[in-house]
Amino acid sequence: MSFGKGKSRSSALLLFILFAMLLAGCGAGPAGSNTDSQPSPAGTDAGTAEGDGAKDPKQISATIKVWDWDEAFHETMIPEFNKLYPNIKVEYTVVSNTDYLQKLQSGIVSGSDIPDVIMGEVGYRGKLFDLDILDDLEGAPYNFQREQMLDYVVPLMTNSEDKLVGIEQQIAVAGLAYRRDLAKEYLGTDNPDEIEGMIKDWDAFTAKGIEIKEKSGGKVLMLPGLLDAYFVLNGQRGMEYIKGEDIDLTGKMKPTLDRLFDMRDKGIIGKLENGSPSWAASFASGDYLFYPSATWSPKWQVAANDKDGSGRWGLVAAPEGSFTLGGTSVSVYKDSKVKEAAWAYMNFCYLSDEGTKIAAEKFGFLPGVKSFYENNRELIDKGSEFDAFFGGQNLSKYFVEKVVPGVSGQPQTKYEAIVTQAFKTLYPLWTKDASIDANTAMSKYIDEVKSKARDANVK
Amino acid sequence: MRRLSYAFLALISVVSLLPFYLMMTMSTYYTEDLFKGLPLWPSDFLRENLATVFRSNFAQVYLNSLTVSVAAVASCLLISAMIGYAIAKFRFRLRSALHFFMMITMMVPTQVGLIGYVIEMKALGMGNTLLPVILIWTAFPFGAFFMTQFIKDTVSQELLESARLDGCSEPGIFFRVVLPLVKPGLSTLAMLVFLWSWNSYLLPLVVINNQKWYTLPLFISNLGIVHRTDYAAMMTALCMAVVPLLVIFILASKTFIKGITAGSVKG
Repeated sequence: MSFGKGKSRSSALLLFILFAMLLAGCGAGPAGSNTDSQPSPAGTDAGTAEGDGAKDPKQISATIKVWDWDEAFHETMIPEFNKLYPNIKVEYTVVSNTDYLQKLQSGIVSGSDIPDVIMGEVGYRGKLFDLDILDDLEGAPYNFQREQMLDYVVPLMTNSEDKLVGIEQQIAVAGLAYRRDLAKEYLGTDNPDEIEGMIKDWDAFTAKGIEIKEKSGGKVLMLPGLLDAYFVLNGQRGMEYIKGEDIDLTGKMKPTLDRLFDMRDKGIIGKLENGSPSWAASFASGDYLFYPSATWSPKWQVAANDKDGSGRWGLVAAPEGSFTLGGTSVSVYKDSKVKEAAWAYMNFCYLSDEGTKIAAEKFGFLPGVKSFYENNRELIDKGSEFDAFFGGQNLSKYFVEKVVPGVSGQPQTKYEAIVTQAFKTLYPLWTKDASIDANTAMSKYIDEVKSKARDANVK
Repeated sequence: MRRLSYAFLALISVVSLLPFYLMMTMSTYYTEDLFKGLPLWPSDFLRENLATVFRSNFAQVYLNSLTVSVAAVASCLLISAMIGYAIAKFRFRLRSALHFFMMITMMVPTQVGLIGYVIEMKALGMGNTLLPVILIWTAFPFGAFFMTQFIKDTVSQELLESARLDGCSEPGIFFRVVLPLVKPGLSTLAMLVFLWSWNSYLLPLVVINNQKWYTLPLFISNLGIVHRTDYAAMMTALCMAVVPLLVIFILASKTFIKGITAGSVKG
């Protein structure tokens, strides 16, 4: 797909305006720029070592421990980091995200090794933030400022006391990946802008779904399963519905359930379970037009599940706005003996200009720090290796221009994971049993959350 | 009738062996192709899966697992046999209480004592080594119980008396008379401990924080875990992981069967 010169210019202008808006009101310098009181330069770009109190990176000597599931990332970043901080040794241990919290909790209770740098995958992040083991990154010695991050990631990085206890590893904003061949056949176009216009809101999405279902004789549906639709709908409604021990589940979930059950009853959603073998196989089989797709999905979901599908995919923003899908925060253990060194590594990898540039080029990570987008326009324009898979569409640019502006982050509390898990337990039944309506489902949902969060008041 | 029973046995064999066969064929597939149907026939992705497995320190991990299992078997057999011999053949104060205590501890799930055990190992300065994963088998109530029952049924009091009359020392009786008599029991217990320690996941997960000391189950569960689980590579690693178990079972199957049927028929 080619874009005209005029279009490129207007896109560039739009991008500039967007980031000018994002940066408006932000008095802080670029990522990692710290106040004079900060003992470490921590970041490594030109803007970070300005403070009078900045220490020479070579003078910081320590060994830091990191637990992460992404071995390749650290294998690349550690040598780069050591060029600037030769006396900080980074020891990483590969720990699966499914075991992470259990291993961490056992370590805390038994008083054994806890890493200095802790990862918080969104599935357990609320519980992690609530353990009170993470340092406030806006306090000393970090003195980081939340304004340096994209606005939507701030709720995802703060705990229930509004302390900033993590920084976002990469933005995990999402839109809808679509099959271009099916779009051409049933919507008459595979142009993302035109498709976006056709599914501006959920009513239009549902109407198109009915149309496609009828045209295809019931063979092609809009989304593969209820959980996929839930990810989109729920993610669009990032709000503070958990206050202390009070969970306003109805306020948060009822509109989502109403919409979900409406789409289910109209037969435009499939019956696949997200992550199941048949769900993975459906990418290649072409029975569903749309899939929720975050910044990491083109590589790990779309290309991985449809390896012969290069050029067959496209990306559009979801109806009625953007959402987040997945994501990982990075924090410092509050009893770490080497906080300064841990922060230096975190700052280099996830905030500094040099580190984020390497991560973006090698892994396609788009960081959550605003300054990256101000300083690395050319990286966004250059695109990524999976653009070809998406018919030449510049995915990074699309995510940054079209998806980021409308997204809202869900504040994290210990009950967040319970609410999501309860949905995952119930939705297979709701998929199978069409006699269950949204109201019955809502009361079942409340019961399920109540049984898992016994100390909470759920309504 | 005979044909029918053979057919039934063949069916049971197929049902039992099919998952094992599928594990092998799955190791030759690209992960996402696994889900397109039942992978009955081998595919052409084995080399890449092997490369994924060997990209990390698989040899070191394999050696760690072997070290743990061999050391666990040796220590567990020796201590369980000693406990079993003492309880089965000696009369001393609180013997019944000790036997009772041993049975009670068998009923407590391992997870309950996990944190206490980790704290103990840390206090002893053994954190982040393979020792905690080995030493847990030295206090293995099932092993002690199993050997107590086995020695009770197999070793006659008269034989021990004869050995004493001939001037054999107590350790000599244990090592030269009792142990040879309970070989089937020991090999059964050895197989079970090898199998359980080889497959142990939770304890290594909690106590090992340095990937240099990771054992096979931890290694396999961490293969290809960034946003996508590489099931095919896991199957490849599993195929290699089951080799020692198969070898041990084939070598010890006769004594194993003797061991599990010992005491089932009273003479």
